[in-house]
Amino acid sequence: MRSDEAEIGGTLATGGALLAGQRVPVGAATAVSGGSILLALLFWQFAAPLLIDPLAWPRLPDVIVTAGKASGTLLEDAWVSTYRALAGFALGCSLGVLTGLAMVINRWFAAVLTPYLAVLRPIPAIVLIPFFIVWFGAGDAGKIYMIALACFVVMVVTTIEGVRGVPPIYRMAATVLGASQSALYRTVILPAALPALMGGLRVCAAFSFGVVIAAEFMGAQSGLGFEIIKARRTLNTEMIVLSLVLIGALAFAFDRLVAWAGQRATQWMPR
Amino acid sequence: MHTDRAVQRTAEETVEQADGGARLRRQQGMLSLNATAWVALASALFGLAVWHFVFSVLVQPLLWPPLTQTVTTAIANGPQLITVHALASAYRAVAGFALGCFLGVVVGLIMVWNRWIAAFITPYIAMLRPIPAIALIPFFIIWFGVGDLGKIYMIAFGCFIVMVVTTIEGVKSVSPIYRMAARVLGADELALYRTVILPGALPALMGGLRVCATLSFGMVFVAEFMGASTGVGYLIIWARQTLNTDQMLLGVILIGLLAFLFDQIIARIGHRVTNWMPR
Repeated sequence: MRSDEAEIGGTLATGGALLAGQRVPVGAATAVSGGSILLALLFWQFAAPLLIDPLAWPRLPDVIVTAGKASGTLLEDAWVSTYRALAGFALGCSLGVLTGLAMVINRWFAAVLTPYLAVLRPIPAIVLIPFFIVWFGAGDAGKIYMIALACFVVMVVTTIEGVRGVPPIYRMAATVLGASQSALYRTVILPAALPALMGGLRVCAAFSFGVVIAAEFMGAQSGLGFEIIKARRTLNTEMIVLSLVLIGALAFAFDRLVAWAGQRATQWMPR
Repeated sequence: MHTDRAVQRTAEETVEQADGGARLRRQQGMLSLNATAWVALASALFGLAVWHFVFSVLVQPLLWPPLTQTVTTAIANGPQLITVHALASAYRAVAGFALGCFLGVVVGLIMVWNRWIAAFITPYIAMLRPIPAIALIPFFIIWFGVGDLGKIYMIAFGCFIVMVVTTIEGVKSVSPIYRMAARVLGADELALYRTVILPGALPALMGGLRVCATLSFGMVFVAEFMGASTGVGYLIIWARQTLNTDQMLLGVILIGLLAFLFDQIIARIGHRVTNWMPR
């Protein structure tokens, strides 16, 4: 990146990715972005109390005080939600990739599974939450399975499409050079499908955090989603805002982590 | 004319690919088409048979409804399900989708066009983007109540964020050479956007619209789970409270159909408007 091209918003990596490539003087753009945030904070602190009902949007000082008081609870809930999201993500993605590969390798297996995937695929996973609560109760297991199912469907489809996207010539070259079936998959097909798989993993990462919150809305005794629902009943908007901030931060961190892992795993690619 | 037809055929093929069976058939080639299709059909029938004969003995109807009961309920309640609840959900999802996507594209274009406005708005987009839109439902209920409005705004919000980002990325993906060529040929700002940049970004925009279509149909039901008096989401929650698993299952199937239908419509429109593209 040239020095006169700046990521607007400087440290905000997402925002930077948004506008990378636009030619804007570094200092000026950062100043406008920073000024914009400052303006919003000033509005929140001074104008909002006159204009907005505290039951609809909390006061800035109240949020800070609540953050200090409830930090223990919030961190504990954040940990619980993260655990559920990550466990479901890991379970669903690994099963999804394995199943996808098995479907590519064996077309009979693929034929058996296809009707079920075709039925499951258009159904938004979150809609199945009530069923998972009926089956597994309101504990961790139901939520983890639920997230796993959502990731599973995405990763099966991504794996099949990723493998199909590998140019046939690679396959033929490897076969002609005497690669066995397992060597073909290990050294040619899997690495070539990796960029697509990594894209799928990022979709699943975002998904996991959405689904875990929705699942916690519908029946849970802990987690950030539960905290939001509890706070909503008492119109404790400070807690809702704090929980939202934590969810955003967690989802952001996880997305960065998966993206970083993806970069490392596909380092050989021309970029 | 010839190419037109070819493009349309490719379009139809690609649309068909959305269904796994077709993809499989293409992948395996013509010879084994019949064999794998038969296995898929047998597998589906086997599933139905297990549902009918095994589940009714082993699984409590409170956990999974018997096949016959589900069919009976579908016939008895089907018309009402579709005319009242499916229609209400579809209205909210499509209205939110349309509002959010439209505003998202407009704001995205403005941000591309003026970097100062972009610098001003970017921190908010960056902050809101990682938050799952579903998590904001409680706020929207506090602000707008449990009627249609809150749900539509919430879906619009979710789509808005996606489309702002997609629009910016779509415009960025237009090759600078096109832009320069248009400039050299004397295009003014407006003509440049209308005839070069927007069409060039269209494939990316269409991809974003499909993401939003899926998102809308996911969000509307969660929003209905949390507070509504009509809609398929409401129906599922109400059925769950009375442990009417057959109603729950019908609701889920109906949602799948609605989401599938909407996705197909968007995909078809997408192919139509980008059919100048080499495929």
